[in-house]
Amino acid sequence: MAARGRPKGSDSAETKRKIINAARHEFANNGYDGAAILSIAENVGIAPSAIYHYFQSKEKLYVEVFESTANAIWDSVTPSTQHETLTEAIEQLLAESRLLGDELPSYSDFLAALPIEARLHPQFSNLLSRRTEFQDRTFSSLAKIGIESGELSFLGEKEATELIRSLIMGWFFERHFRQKEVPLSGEAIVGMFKYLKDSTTQ
Amino acid sequence: MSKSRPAGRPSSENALDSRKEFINSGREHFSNYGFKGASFTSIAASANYTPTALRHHFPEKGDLYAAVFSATSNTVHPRVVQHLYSETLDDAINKVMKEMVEIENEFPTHMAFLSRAPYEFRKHPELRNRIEVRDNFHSFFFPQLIELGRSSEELPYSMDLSDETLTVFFFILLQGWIYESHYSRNVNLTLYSAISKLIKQL
Repeated sequence: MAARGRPKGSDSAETKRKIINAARHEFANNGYDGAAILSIAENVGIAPSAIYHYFQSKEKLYVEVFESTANAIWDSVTPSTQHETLTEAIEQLLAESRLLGDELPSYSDFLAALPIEARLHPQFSNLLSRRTEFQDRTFSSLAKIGIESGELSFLGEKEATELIRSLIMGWFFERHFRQKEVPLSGEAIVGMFKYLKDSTTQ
Repeated sequence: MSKSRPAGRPSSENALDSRKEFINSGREHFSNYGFKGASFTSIAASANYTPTALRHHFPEKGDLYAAVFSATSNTVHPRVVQHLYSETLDDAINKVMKEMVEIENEFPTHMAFLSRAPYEFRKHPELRNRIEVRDNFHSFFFPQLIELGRSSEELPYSMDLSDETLTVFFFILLQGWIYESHYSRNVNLTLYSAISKLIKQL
């Protein structure tokens, strides 16, 4: 049985983590408006008032879930800078992203719904710029790899970043929305970069 | 502003007008609140009709959604397709992207509706079965685009990427650009200069 009173240090961080995980599921499945603090609390096994103790409001909880989810996803899909070619780095990103999509579906469900939530709830508009920052970090580091290796040496950094952003996000959204990968879409991206690699290093 | 309407069954000309008003009102509501969140009563009220009048034209919400989808694609798709008659792939992509920017400015709700549609299909698979327009458009437009590039020799057969692979490549690339421009609310043509330079490398 749980001891009475306010939880101590490490317990408190653990509870916060559990709330964020339960809230991610709830927001991903029911949307911001449809999400119920009560069912998040039930899933964690705490009183609804305890959630407000940690997060003050549903809005703050949503923002925290976004930060935690975006950090986790972008950290794991961002290829290490050890890759010498963009082709390899992109192959790793796609593989990692497929794995996350299959194993942690609520992460991609939550993130894919953000632009739609922000349209209905203007208070989340600033999360759209946060979202772009996360993207930029990853896509511009990939662009640099491609320019340096020669695969994208014919492009400026901004152009290379936009090319990679559109390809990866197009690949991701179509896969996410259809719940299966568009046939040949991964091969098409990798195939094109392989071709550029071979033709520029000849 | 509320309009006063004569009592009784609408004449056929009025019926066409009211159908159009329901479609416009439906587009607005579906884009903002989603398929699930949009209410029949509010859609009718925004068009200054009773829910009964709406139900007379569209017995179920899915019927209205399908009608909005066709009406919206019928406005957007021909404006994109006309650019297949360009001389080169480079030129066609340039014109298609500029056209999309114009459509986004002229008909923001059309674009909001279309960008949200794949998300709705995922949540409500029964809607997808009613709407083949989207897949039909993609399976017509992108192969034609590749054919243009083949005949202008911008996409030489010497690179070992099949027509199918190239079709999927340009599909996810442009689709990703449309999603991201709309979601991040930042439409720009940096991607076009990247694509133009990419084509010259092939």
